[in-house]
Amino acid sequence: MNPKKFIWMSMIIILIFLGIRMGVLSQEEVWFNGLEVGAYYRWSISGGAISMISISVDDMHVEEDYTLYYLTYRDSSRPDGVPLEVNLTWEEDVMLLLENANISLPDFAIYLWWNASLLEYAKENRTAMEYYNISSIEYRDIMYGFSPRKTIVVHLNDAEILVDMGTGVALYAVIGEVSLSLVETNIIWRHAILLSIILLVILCVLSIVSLRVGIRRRGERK
Amino acid sequence: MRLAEELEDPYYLYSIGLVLLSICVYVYINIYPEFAMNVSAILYPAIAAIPVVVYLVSIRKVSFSWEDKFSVMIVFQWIGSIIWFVGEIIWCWYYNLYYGLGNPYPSIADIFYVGAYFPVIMGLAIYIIYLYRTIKLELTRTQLLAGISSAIGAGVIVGAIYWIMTIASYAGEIIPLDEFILNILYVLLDAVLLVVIVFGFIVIRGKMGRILLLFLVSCLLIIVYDVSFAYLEAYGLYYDGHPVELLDLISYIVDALAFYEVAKLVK
Repeated sequence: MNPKKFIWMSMIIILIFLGIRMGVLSQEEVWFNGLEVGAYYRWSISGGAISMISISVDDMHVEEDYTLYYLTYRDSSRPDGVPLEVNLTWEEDVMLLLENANISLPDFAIYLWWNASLLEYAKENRTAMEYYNISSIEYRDIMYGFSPRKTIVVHLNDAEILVDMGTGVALYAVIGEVSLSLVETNIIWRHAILLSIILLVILCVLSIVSLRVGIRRRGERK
Repeated sequence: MRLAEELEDPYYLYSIGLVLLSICVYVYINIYPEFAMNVSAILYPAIAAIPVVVYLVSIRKVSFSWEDKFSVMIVFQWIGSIIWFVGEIIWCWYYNLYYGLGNPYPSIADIFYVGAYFPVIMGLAIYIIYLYRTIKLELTRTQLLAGISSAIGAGVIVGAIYWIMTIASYAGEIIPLDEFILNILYVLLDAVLLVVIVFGFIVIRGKMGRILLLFLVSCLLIIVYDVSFAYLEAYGLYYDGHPVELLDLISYIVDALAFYEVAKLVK
């Protein structure tokens, strides 16, 4: 077979493959991705008895059928923090992480952390939505700093919560009289894509400069 | 002596600096793993863009012709670099930073990762076959047989190990069809690439030898990375920001070095 024919046939095979792949593309489950050891989140709150909540993930213990997370919970009335444990079993679906907490929390705090995969499932399944008392779910792209970010807006009877798809944490919420927003975290970087573009430009410019200097010096040596 | 000369070359120094920077970044994110996904997603596209940009400097001077097999190899390697770069953008910017997903597999990025193998393998194979035809008379029958059998043997062995590791990563669970097809493609393409690489090392000759050598080393790093990735996945040890990613990053830097050598050649 001559090279041209071989290349064209290969390209056609790639296109067929791409078509098939695009059709059957599946999405990996998100679960509570933001539950990484070392993760830290702080929300500012207005309209409630407390003005701040922060949660940090200290440790985790994985067993065959469940995972135990050790967190530290702080709010303006408990600034020193209290240990909080969450036991997540793999056998049942958990929509709200802090519903499984071993300590009592302010009512609205349970809406701070969602299972984004389950929300995506509920979006397509009316029964699941009713089961979790959700009136509507919609996707929304937002600008988080200078970076776009995929989110889900969850509407409950008296609440609207903007949930980050990657971590499952509430970025912004109005729950009854209380409104809250995520003000600090080490997991979502506000300007990550912009930083990457800047780094890309810097490295490309440095590459061209060092390349030109290298070629010039070689010419001088000759 | 030649090595010392190369180390004085600003572009080589810059490349060494990039490798050291990458190593420092990976040490940092392995001490602070909560930053791993963001930091590696910021760094990856920036490094992957370098070979694409470096070749652009000499693009007008390297004319493409099917008769000139060297130009075929260079242009095909560059097309491969562009496709890999697009794959990295999709993986890092779309999945990691926009969507917040850690290790998306299978994903749209895989279409590009797999797609890039075709021009890379074809470009190398066309040039290596041309080299082989040129030097055929220099090789004895025994050398030729040993070369071909070691190339095919290496491809089969590494392909088999890669496949076993990939299957092991599913721990007995049923593999979805799209993942199965993708796994087969990755293993097959890596095995074919390895055959081409080993044969390339046997026939490498001429003043363009260094450029071919750099492309071969870059591809070898990708294969070592792929097999290590499959091994780590099989035992649940892989995470975004794992030090094994350095092999992948260094392969982009080596690719860029090859394009730099092209720029020096056509100056």
